[in-house]
Amino acid sequence: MIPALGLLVGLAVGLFLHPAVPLPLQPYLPIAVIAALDAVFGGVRAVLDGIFNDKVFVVSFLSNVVVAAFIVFLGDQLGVGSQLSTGVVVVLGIRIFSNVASIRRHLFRA
Amino acid sequence: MTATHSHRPDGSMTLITEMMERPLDPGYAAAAESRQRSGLPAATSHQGPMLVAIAVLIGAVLATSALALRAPTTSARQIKSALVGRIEASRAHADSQTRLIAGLRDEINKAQATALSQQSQSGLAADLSRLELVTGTVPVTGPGLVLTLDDAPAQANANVDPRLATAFDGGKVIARDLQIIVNGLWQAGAEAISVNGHRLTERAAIRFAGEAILVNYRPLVRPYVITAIGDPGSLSVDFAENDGGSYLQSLKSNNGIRGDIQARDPVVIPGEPALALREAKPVQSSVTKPVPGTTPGRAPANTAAQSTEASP
Repeated sequence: MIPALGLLVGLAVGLFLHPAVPLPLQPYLPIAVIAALDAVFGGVRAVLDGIFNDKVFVVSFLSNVVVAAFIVFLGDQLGVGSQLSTGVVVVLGIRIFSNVASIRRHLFRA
Repeated sequence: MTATHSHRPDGSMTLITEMMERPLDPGYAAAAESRQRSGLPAATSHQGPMLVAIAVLIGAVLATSALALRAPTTSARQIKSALVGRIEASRAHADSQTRLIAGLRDEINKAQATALSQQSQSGLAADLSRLELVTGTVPVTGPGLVLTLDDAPAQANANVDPRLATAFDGGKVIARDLQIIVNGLWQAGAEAISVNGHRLTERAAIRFAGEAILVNYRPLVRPYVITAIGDPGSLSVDFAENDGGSYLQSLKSNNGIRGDIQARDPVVIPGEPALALREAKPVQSSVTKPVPGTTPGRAPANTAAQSTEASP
């Protein structure tokens, strides 16, 4: 419950402070969002599975974001940035969907 | 590859299998197992300060990126709508100015008429109205033709190679078509012509700007209605026989462009406020009398002669 409140607080902070994102960092924002969502849904599923571990959650979130950003950065240097970000989005999107499906089975038994 | 390969038929797709079947980070299971081995419960508390900090961070990232990535499109849209608004405002302004000009012109005409009648110079008044009629500054009416042109129906070109079709769509009316048809109408003896309500005076141009056809610098929307005043019988016969008519016929049969000619009596053709002549001066000769106030002899002879002689 407290992490969910933290999430809301973070949303409010982002909405009201409206921090300016430097232009060079903007291509990484969608990737960061997808990686963060993947970590969140993975964490929720682990909670429901009864094997949640806060250290694993934090490390997996940070490493997801860093690796995804690095892949996109590398792609930009190689001239295939948009293709690689599509790849990252597809992989993380599939994970998000199957984690959400598992959460749904836990919650609704369906 | 060898006899000792895995039993799974999809063994060559380990990457996809891994992704589909184990979406959860394997770290969770490993951590839970090691905690159970050391006698702790499998799951840790999910109220830790680090966890809350990360949750705040994730929320901030979500909100920030939503705002940051949405902003460029909205600002572009704002600029676009601002530009559209300016165009519309300018056009409305131009229209109101045109109406103002028309109103003022009416006043001038009335004042001229009263002045000329007071000085009992009915010859000048008659001259003036004749010249106005010829130069197309006043609306005219009379028997004539109404020629409606429109692009070919879309499905007529459906099986054409789309790349060729974007290069040149043969079923689309272009400025050249209008030019040739209008020239054919003049040739057939039309006395006044308007296209979609824009009078073709001696200084009117039909031209292309991007995808749009411009007449008198105003973009036209289809269908294109060409109205011509002239003797209805001879006008339609002569037009059908000359270049303009045959060109229209080939447009209709080859390109599927829809064209329709109707004789009507009467048709009304609006006037177009005459553009002021800045450079052209009348040539002093026995035929054209010098206008008071202009210095004779300074005008370039040929162009001035043409501009005074050019009448529809």
